[in-house]
Amino acid sequence: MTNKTDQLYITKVINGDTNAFTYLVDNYKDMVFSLAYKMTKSREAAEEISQDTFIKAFKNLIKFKGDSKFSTWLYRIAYHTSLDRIKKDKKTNNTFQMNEITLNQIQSVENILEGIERKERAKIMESCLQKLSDDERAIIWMFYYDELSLKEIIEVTNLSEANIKVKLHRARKKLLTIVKENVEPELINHYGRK
Amino acid sequence: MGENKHIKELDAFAKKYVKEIPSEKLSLDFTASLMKKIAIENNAKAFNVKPLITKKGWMLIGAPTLALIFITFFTTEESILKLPKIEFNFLDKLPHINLFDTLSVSNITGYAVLFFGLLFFAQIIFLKKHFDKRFN
Repeated sequence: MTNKTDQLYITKVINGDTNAFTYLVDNYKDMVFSLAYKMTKSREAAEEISQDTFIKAFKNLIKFKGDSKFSTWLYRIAYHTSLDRIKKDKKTNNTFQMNEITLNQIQSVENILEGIERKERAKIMESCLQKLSDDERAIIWMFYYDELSLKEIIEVTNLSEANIKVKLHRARKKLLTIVKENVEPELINHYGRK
Repeated sequence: MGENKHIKELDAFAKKYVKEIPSEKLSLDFTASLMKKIAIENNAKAFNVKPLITKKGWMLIGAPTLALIFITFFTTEESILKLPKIEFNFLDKLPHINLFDTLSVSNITGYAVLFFGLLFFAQIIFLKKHFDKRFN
């Protein structure tokens, strides 16, 4: 349904109705902005990337053949525009020490998180996600938040399936380790106050 | 070996808690300002000056011209077209009229014309810059 509606508006834009593009922008601006923000960690940069993404999409709309979903096509532009921006800003990622993860650890982190209010928990997760490297954060966001399939992620990133699977697994492990490190002191504080 | 341990549990963990993160919201005037930018870009496109003669056009003109030059250089005295020869001897028989024999130009007029010409060509550069700025 969405695909058909998107296509209808895309055809309108190609035929010269610039205002029809507003529908596409309003529909996908938050998705584009969220990905750019997750990748760059900067609101200002993410807003610029969102603008650039839509301008690029507008200019190249005629090249969109409808082989994939419009959202995937747009996602791809946003992803590569964000990568270019990151390269330009030359942000360095910290090296991260990761130990073996046990089932016990996963369960105890989950237990701690369950004891925290949902809003607060989301904040913690957000700040932990920011500590992942740019590409890991992007892949986690695509797979778990925007629920892109592996096939779609391959299309967006141009990486191989095996590479994405490895990155995804590493990112999950890293995320759990970071969350664990972040919530443990909170838990100590929490019980300390009681 | 340990790399692929607990994939299911880690997957469930990420699925549950990443989804809880609130999505970022753009500023309210984002769409309006973006559409303004797109309108400006669209207008700029309309002003884009297209060359009168395209690259293809230049090829079509250039190739026969070059071919003609090469033919004239490499062919022998005999013309390949075998056109009838036109004699221009009759021009010598016409009475000579030298209109500019008596005309003399002072140095100052010569310099004036020269500087006028120079300024005329200088204007072209300024005009080009001016119009480039207007259309960009």
